[in-house]
Amino acid sequence: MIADTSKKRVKGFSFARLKRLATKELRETLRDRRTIITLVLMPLLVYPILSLVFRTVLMSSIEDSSGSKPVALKIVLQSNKPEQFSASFIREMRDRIRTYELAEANERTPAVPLDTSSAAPPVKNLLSKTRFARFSEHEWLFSDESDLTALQDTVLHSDISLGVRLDFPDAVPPDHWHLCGITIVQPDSELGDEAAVYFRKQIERINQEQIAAVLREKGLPDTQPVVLKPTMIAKDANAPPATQSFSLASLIPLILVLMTVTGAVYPAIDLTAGERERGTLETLMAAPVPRVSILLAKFFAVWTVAIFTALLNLIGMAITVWTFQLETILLGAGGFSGPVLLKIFGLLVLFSAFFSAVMLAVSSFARSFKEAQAYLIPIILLSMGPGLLAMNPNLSLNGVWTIVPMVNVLLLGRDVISQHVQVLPAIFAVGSTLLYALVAIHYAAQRFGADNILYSNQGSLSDLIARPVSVQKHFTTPAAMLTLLMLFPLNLIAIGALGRLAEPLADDYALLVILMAVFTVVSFFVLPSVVGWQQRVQFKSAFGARLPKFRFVIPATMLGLCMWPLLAILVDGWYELTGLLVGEEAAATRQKTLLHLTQGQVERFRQLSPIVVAFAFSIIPAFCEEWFFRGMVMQTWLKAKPNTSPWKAILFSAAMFGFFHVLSNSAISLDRLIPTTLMGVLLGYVCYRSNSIWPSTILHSLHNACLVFLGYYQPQLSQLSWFPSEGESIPMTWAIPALIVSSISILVLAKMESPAHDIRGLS
Amino acid sequence: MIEVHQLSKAFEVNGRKFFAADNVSFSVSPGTVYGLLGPNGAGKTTTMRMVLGLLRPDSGYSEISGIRSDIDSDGVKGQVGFVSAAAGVYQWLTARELLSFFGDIYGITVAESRHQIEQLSQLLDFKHILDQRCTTLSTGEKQRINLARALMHDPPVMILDEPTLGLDVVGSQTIFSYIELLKSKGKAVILCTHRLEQAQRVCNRFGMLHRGEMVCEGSLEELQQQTQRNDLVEMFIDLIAQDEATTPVSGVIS
Repeated sequence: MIADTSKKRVKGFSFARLKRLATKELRETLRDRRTIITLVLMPLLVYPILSLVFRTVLMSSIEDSSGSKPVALKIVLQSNKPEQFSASFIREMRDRIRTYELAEANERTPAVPLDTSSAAPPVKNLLSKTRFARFSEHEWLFSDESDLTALQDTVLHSDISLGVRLDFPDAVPPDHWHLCGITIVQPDSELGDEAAVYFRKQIERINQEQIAAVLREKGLPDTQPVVLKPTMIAKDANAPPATQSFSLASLIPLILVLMTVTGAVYPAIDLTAGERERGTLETLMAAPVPRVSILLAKFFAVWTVAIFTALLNLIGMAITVWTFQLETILLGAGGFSGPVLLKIFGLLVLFSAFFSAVMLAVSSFARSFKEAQAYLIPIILLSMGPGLLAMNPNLSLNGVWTIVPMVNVLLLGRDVISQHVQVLPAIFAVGSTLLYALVAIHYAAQRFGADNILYSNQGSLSDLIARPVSVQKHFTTPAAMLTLLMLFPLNLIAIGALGRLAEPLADDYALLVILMAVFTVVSFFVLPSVVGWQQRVQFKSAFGARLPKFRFVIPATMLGLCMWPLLAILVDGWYELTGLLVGEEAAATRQKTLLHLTQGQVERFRQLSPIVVAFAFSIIPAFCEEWFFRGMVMQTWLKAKPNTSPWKAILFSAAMFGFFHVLSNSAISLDRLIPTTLMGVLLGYVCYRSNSIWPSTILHSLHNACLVFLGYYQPQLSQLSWFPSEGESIPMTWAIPALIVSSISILVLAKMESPAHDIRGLS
Repeated sequence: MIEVHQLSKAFEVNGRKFFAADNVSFSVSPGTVYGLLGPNGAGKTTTMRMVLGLLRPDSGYSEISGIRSDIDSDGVKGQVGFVSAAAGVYQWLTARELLSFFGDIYGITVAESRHQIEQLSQLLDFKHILDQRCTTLSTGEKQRINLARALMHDPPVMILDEPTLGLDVVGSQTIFSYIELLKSKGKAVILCTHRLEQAQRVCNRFGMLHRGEMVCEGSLEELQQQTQRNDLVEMFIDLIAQDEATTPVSGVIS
C-alpha cells in the first residue's frame, strides 16, 4: 500500500511550487490571531488616537502662537532708487493690500471664536482665521542701504517678518512702477515662511489686477505676461539648520514605515525562530529542499503580510487625515491625491521587501521566539535613528544618502509627498534597497537551520565570558564580536572627549596628539589584548602576530610607498562620481572643505617634531589597527569559517576598518568609507597571504607616513619643481609608475608561496 | 542500503572536547529494522543526524544507496523518511495541508501527493481528522501524522528517533505494528528507542551505543553471545552499571 507510487519528482526550481510553499507559510501566519492583531487592529486604533493627540497639540500651539493679539507684519523695504522715488509705489502697494484685507474680512463668515470652550472647531477654519488675524496690522519700514546683503542681514538678525527689495529699471518714470523687480528676503522662521507666502499672494493679486487693467486699456486677449515678478530669496544658506522647522510631511513616511515594520515582525519571527520552537525545523531540514526556496517562500509570506499592513495603515492614515481635515497642515495645499498615495504605497512595498528580508535574516539566527525578539527589538529601535535623520529638512536625497538603507527610502517618501522626485537619486535608492533585500535573503538562507541554530542551546552570559580552561588558538566569534561592539561606543565617547579637549588644549597641541595616540592604543590594542588574556588565547595565532617570511616584507613595503597617489586619484574619482549625483558645485564645496580641514591640521602638525608625527600618526595607529582589524577580527573569522572563501573575512574586516574610520572622522561623513575600505581590503589580502599582521603593519604605517609627511613637508616640497603642487591632481607621470609598482607587488604577493598553514585558495 | 563507516563527531563544551560519536560503524540492509540502542547521551541521535546529512561528521562517512551524506546530503535526504520524537507539527495547518506541504518539499507532484494522503490516512487511520487543524490533535494523532509525513515521498529508508516517546501503550503499539509493516515492505529502518521489549521483538539487528562508542553490534543471538545476557534489558542494565563504576572521563578529552 505504501510502496509503488511513481518515482517522478519535481526537480529544480518551479514557480508553482514556490507559490504553494509561500501560500502555506502565509496560511500559517494569517490563521494566527497574533498576526491579525498587528495587521488590523493597530491601524484601526493607532491613527485615530494619533490624530486626536496631534490635533490637541496643534490646537494648543496655534492658540499659544496666535493668542488674541494679531501679529504685526513688519516689512523692510529697500530700493535701488532713493526713498522719494519708491514712495509712490510703496504707498500704492500698501493701499491695495489693505483693500484686499478689508474685502476679505467682509467676505468671511462670522469668525469662529478663538475661545475653544465650545465644541472643537474644524482645524482648517481655525488656521485660515489665524493667518488672517496675524497680519491684519502692517508696519512698512524703509532701509537706506542699497546692498541686498545688507537687507538680508537686517532680516536675519532682527524681528523683521520680511524684507522686500525693489529694483526699478534705470530709466523709468515714477508712475510706471509695475516695471519694478521684486525680491523677497524671508527670515528663517515659521513666521517668515508664513509672511513670505502671504506677501507673495498679495503681489500676485496686484499682478492680476494690473493685467486686468492693462487688458482693459488695450483690449488685448488675456495672454499678457505677469507684470510684477517676485523673486524669492529663500532662507539664508549659512543659517544654522536648527532653526529650520522640520516638515510634518517627513513624519508620515516614518510613521507608515514603523507601522509596516510592526506588521512584519511577528511573521518574520514566527516563520523562522518559531520553526525551531515548534520542533518543525529539523523535519524541514531533513527534507532535500534548498534552503533558498524555503526562505524565499517565507520571505514572500512575510512580505505579503507587511504589504497588507502597509495598505491597511495607509488607508487608516488617509481616512484619519481626511476626516480630521489634517491634509493641508500635513501635506500642504496639494493634500492627498491618488497618484501620491499610489507612489507612497509603492515605496512601502519596496521598503517592506527590504525590512522583511532583513528581519528574516536576523531572526534566522535565533533559536527561540524570545531570542528573536531580543534581536529584532533593538534593530527596530535602531532603525528609528535613520528615520529621525531623514526628518532633518536639510537632508536631501543625493550623494551617499541614496544608498544608505532606510534613510534613502524615507527621503524618497518625503520627496514623493512634496512631489519633488528626482529620477537618478530615486533609481539609486530603489536599486540599492532591492540589492540589500537580496543580500539579506541570501544571508537568511545561509543561517536558517544551520547546525548551530538547529542543535545548540541558547548560551548564557556566563558562557560568553567564561574563561576557557585551556589555551585557545583563536578567539571565539562571540568574543570577537563583543569586542567589536564594545569598541563602537568607546570610539564615539573618545572622539567626543577629544573634541571637547581640542579647545582647552589648543595651545598644547602635542598633548592632544599624545592623547589621541593613547586612545588608539587603548581601544585597538589594549582592549583586544585584555580580551585575549581573558579568553586564554595564544596571541601569536589569535592576532596573527607570527613572524612573517621576509619575502612578504618587500611587496608590502613597495605597496606602502606607492598607494598614496593611487588613493588620491581614487578620492578624486569619488568626488567626480558624487559630483554626478549631488551636482558638481556641492561636491566641489565639500571637497574644498575637507581639504581645508586637513590643511588646518597639517599646519598644526608642523609645530610637532617629525618623530612625534611619525609615531602618533603613522606607527602607532598602523600597529594598533592591524592588531585589531587584521589580527583579532580577520583571524577569528578565518578560523570560524574555515570552509568559506577567505575573501569574506578580508571584506568583513575591511568594512569594519572603513566603518570605524568614518566614525572617527566626526559626525557622519561618509566620504572616507570607500577609500578606507579598499585600503582595508589590500591590507587584509597582504595579511592573509603572508599569514601575519606584520607585513600589513609595515604597509599601513608607510602609507600613513607618506600622507602625513607630504603634508608636513609641504612648504619644502612645493619648492621642488618636479613635485605636484597642492590641490593639483596627481599627474600621470606619478600615477603610472605607482600603478605599475603596486600591480607588480600584488602579483608577486599572489604568486608567492604562502606559508603552509591553513591557507585556502583565494578565488 | 545504509553503510556507516567510522563516523566520529566531537562537540566543544566549555573549551573541552566531548565525543558524541566515536568511530561508529554499522550497516542496514533492505527489509531490516536496525535498533540503535543506548542510554541517554550515548550518541544515538548524533549518529542518526550524521547518517541523514543534518550534521557533518568530523571523520568517517555514511552512505545510503551509494550516496554519501557528507557529499550529497540532499541526495541522501531524498531517500530517507525521518521521524523524531522532537518533531512538531504546524499547528495552524490542517493535517492535509501539512502533508501536501511536505509532498511539495520532497518534490512529488500534486496528484501523487493527493494519492499518498489518501493511502496513508487509511493505513494509519487518521482519515477522519485530515481536515482538522493540527493544534486540535492529540499526541498520538500528531505522531501518526508525523509518520505519514515521513512517508509522503515513499522513501526506501526510514530513520525513526524515539517515535513512541510520550505515547500511551496503544499509541506505541500502533507505531510498532507499523514498523513491522515497513519491514515487510522491504524498507531499511533505523530505530532508536528506549522501549526495549518491543525493540527486541521488531528489530533484526541491534547496535548498543555507549558514550559515543559502539559497544556491541549484531543480531540478538550475537549480542547474547557477546554479553552473556538473555535480553536487551539486562544488557542495558549492565551497560549503565559499568557507567556508574567508571569515572565519566573516557568520553572526554581535554
